[in-house]
Amino acid sequence: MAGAHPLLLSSDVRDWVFIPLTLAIVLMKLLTQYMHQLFNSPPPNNKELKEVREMQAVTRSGRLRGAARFIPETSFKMRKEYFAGEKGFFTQKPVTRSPQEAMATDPSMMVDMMKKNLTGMVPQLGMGMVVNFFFQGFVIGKVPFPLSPRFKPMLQRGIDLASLDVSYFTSLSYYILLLFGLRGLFSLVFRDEVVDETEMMKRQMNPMAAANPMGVDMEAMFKQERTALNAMDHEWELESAEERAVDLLRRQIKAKKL
Amino acid sequence: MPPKKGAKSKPDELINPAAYKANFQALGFLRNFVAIISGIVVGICGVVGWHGFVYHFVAQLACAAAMILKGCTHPPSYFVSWNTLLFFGVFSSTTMLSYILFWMIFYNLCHVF
Repeated sequence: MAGAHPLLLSSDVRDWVFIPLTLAIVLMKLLTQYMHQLFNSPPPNNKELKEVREMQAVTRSGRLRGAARFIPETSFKMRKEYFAGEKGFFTQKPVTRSPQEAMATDPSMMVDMMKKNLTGMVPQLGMGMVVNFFFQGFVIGKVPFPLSPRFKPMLQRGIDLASLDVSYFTSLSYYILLLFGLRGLFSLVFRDEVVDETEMMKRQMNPMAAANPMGVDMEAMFKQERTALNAMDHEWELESAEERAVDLLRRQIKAKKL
Repeated sequence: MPPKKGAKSKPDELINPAAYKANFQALGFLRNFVAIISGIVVGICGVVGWHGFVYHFVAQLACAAAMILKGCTHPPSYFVSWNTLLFFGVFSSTTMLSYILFWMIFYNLCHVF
């Protein structure tokens, strides 16, 4: 294979293609970053008071279950009655809608996602097309290490020379390499808020998991909390606290005396 | 130097989440920086071949050593363990790709044309 003959590329290619392409992509990425920051308003918080109240009630009862050892029996019973009793909080029907409904009837979330997609993906695709149109059909540079022939279609789109060394790449593949490599550079320049496209892609792959912070199904959670609270056995750890304190102090006094 | 974590009491340690996160961010920043700089240097020198990656790992180790010298005297108290300091971002795609990219750019600029 032609590994021993280094291709001689004229310096015109370097002046007119390599450097301008790099600069153009860097500038485009900067632009998209700033556009993202400008357009990125926080998603509208359209939760009603009742929904917020329900979520917080669930949190409270979870905390109650966790820290029940520290409150005396009557207090615990009062709280349990409030949550899981006959006319308790958790026996009422929750107002929160299930996530499916919420996503479908919520136009503002859709608009938000579309905005994010627009400012993120479209300039990159557009630039890719521009690069492909202008800088097509020639080799632009060399990768410093030898690669196996499987990388040939990846690095040399549009050139069908079988004997061309795999290390040489075309402008389109260089564009894609730039897109990935500049992520690192940009995370240095902007400390936060950087890589939005990979996050968006990950988010698109699990739309259900990320979309709804309201909780999966309020009714099921209410039931869960109710049964958990009813099944709890309460033991007040501090019950014998006074006697234990007296013991400890006695021992200490004895020890000091000796 | 990033702040220490919270009070240590055997056997469990308390971790101050803000400080921990700030430590990690500092480490990531440094790793990225070292990757880019070492990529540029290696590209200008004209290193060709797979052993160019060895320089990347050497540079990352040097970065960890510099961190230890500079202020992080006892790594388990700043990060959870030695492994975190040594291996945290070394194999992450961001640093590797940045290294490759800058290596490529500067090699091309200086040696191919």
